[in-house]
Amino acid sequence: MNLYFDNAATTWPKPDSVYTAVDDCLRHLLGNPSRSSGGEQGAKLIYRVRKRLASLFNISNPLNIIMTCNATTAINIALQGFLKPHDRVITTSMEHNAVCRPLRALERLRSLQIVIVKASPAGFIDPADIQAALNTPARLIVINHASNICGSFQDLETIGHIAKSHDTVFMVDASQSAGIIPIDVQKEYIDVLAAPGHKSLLGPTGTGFCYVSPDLEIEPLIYGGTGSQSELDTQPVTLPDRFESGTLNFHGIAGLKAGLEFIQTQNNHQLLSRERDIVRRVLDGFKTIKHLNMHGPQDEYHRLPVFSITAGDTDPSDLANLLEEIYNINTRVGLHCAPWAHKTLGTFPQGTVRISPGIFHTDAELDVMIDSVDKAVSQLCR
Amino acid sequence: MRHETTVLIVMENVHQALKMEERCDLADINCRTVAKPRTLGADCGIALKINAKLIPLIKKFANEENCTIFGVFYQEHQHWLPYPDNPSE
Repeated sequence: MNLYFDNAATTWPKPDSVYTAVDDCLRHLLGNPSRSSGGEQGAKLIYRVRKRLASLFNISNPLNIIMTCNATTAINIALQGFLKPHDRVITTSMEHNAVCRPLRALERLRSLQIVIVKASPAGFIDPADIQAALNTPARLIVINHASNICGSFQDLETIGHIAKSHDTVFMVDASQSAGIIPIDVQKEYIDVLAAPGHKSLLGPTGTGFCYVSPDLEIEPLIYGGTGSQSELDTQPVTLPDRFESGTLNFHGIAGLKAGLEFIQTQNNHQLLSRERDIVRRVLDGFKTIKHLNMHGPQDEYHRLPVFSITAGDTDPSDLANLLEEIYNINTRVGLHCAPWAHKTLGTFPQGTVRISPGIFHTDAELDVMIDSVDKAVSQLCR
Repeated sequence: MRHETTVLIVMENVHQALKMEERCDLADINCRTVAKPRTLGADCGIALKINAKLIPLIKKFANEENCTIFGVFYQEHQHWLPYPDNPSE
C-alpha cells in the first residue's frame, strides 16, 4: 500500500470515530435536519458541531457559523456577499485560487481595486506592508493563514490589530491551519473565518464552514428553502438560515463532529506539537539530500509540515512519478491551485512536488519517505 | 388562565430553539422541544414547550443569547392562541 503524503489536500486517514459517525448517521438518524418529523436529532447534531467550532475558535455565538461544503464555498459566500462595486481589497501573494479567482471575477464584475501585498521568498507577510497598504483605506483584508505550498503561516494577531485600528474588515482563509494552529477570532479581530472540515479538522470531504461576525452585512450566495419562515418567498435575514439554503451534508457534518471531538480531546496543543516534531524530522532529513531544493521556509519556525521540493533543475513531475511508481509515495505535483504563491517562491510556472505529512504518520513512515526522496533525487540528478 | 398553563414558545428558527433548549438545560429548567403546530407557522420548525411561569426567564435567556421570540402560545379548545402579556389569575 502506498504511503499518503498529500494531507494538505485532504487529511487521511481520519480517526476511526469519523468513519463510524458517517455510517451511523446515514443508517440511523432519520430524515432531513430541521425539516422532517424526526429530523430534530439531526438539527441537534448540527447545532453541537456549531458549538464545537465556536469553542475551538472562540466564537461567541454558534449561530454565526454557516455550514458549507468546503472552504471555497465559504470564501465565496463572504467575498461575493460582502464586496461592493469599487471596493478596495488588500490581499497577499500567498493566496490560494479559492481567494484569487473570486477576487479577479469581482474585479471584472464590480470594478474592485485589488492590492496584493507581496510575501518574502520564504512565504511570510510583513505586517508592516499591510499597514502601509492601508495608507489608502480599504474595505477588506483577506489573508491566507498558512500556505498550502510551503506551510509558512502569518501573524494573524498583529494583522488583525492593524485591520481593527483602520476599521477594515479582516477575513482569514484558515484552510491549512484550522484545527492545528490555535485561532481566536476575538483576540485576533477576525470578522470572517473560512475553513474546510476535511483537512486538519479531520472530517470528511464535503464539509466546511464560514464564521461571519454579527456586525457584517452579507448578501447570500445561494437563495432557497431553509426550513424556516416558509411563508415568506424572500430569504430569511437570521443566521445561519440566511446562508444555508438547501439540505446540508448531514452525514458529512456528523463525521466532522467526530473529527472535532477527536481534536478537542487531545491535550492542549498536542497536535501542533506533533506537527512541529514532524517539521523538524523532515527538515533534518531533507537537509542532508544532495541536489534537493526546498522552497519556502528553510527552518522550523512559523511553519506547518507542508514541504515544496524540486530535484535540481528537473521537471517536478519526474520526481513525483518516481516517488509514486517506484517508492509508493503519494505526493502532489504542480501549482497546487496557488499561482501567486508559486510566483512568490520563484517556482512558477513549473511548480513543485508538495509533500505534506499528517499527524498520524509514524516516525518510521517519515523516515521511509525521506529515504525515498533521497533515492529518487539521486536517481534524477546523477 | 393560570401560570400552570403549558405554553409553546416559537423562536425565529430551529437553531435558536435548540440554543434556547440548551440554555434551559444548563439552568436545570424543564423545557422540551416539540414539532411546531402548523397553525403557528408555515415552516418545518420546532417550538419550546414550557410552563407559563417560566416565560419571563425564557425572555431573559433569549435576550442574553441574541435570540428572537416570535410568539408565545397556549392551547384552548384545540386552538393555539397568543398568550397574553399579563394573564389574569
